[in-house]
Amino acid sequence: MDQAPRPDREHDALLARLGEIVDVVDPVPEPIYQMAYGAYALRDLDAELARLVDDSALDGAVPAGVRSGGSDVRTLSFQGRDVTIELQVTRHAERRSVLGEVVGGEVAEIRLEGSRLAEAVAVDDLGRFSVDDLPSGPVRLRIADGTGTQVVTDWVAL
Amino acid sequence: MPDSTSTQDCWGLPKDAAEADDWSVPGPRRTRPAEMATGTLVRLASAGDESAWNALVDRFTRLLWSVPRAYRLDPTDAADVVQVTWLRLVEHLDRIQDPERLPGWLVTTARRECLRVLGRGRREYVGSGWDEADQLPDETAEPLDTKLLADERDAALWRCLRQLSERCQRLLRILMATPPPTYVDVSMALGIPVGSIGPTRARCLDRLRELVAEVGLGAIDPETGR
Repeated sequence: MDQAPRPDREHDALLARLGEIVDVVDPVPEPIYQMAYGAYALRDLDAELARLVDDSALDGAVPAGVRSGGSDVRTLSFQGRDVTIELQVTRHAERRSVLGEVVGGEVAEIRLEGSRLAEAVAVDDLGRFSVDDLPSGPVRLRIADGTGTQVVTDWVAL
Repeated sequence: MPDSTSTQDCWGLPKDAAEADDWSVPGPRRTRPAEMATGTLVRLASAGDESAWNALVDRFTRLLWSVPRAYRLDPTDAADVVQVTWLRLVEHLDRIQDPERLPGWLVTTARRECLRVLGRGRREYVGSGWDEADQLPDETAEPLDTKLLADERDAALWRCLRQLSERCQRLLRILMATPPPTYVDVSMALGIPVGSIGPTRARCLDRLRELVAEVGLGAIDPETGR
């Protein structure tokens, strides 16, 4: 369909052989499969999704020279229907600290979820919160308002 | 109406049989998840069918893994990229515009995660686009263990591959993935024009053939690549 014409059977054969070799020298680590199967159980059909709309780490990958100074601080924004979640993530080697703010709507509870962790995060009257000493890896936030409505953010690797 | 006392999954199979993953039970002809079209699996997974989800994971994880590896991310970062991509898909299952084009969605998501890692950790690689690819220093790649290869000719071929330009290695790493990606998917995985893929592929494989000839591995059989 959108494959280009094949100029050379020898090329195809060579590529096929490389495909066999790469399965030996650079296989997918088995835990990745287990994690990926398990991801399905984390599906949440009831919560509203707040999508990642801005990530300074991604901005930084496009044009050089527009990054803010030399500090390793990353900012992320998530947009839900009625709420915006802003995160500021600082790296300390393999650990992360997060300053966050939920704008719009009342916040009763915030939980930080990883593929293996879920912990409640203290939040102040203005919707601000902080988490220290977080391991790197994928996380999302779950925010509950007083009425039982839940918002989850897109997953991000911090 | 089917018997309301028996729970059945989307293929009309008894739930417990599906959960036991026992597809060898004789009976009326049915399609195994592994044989289903990708779009069908997306719709079934979206409707709550876990075995359809597992089949998607089995089908596309090797292709997904090839994206961060093509970008030379180390195994830890590569694992994060693949993990985040699958986690994102879970929440986006019922939002995928064209379920048959899932591989494009997956590699696009993985590519963005790769750029995120590169933008975050290795500022000197900002851009990390096609044109800069040849300038990436080779020492970022950990040597893959060719000792695992029983056939010395395979090991020699792999060493030749490692001498190609970064651009060639990146492109070939995606192209050698299973299942073979379409050029549109390769374009999305690497952020390069579809029209550049065929000519670059041919150039890179020609160069690889020359290197193989230089180390005296002899002619390559057009049928087997050996």
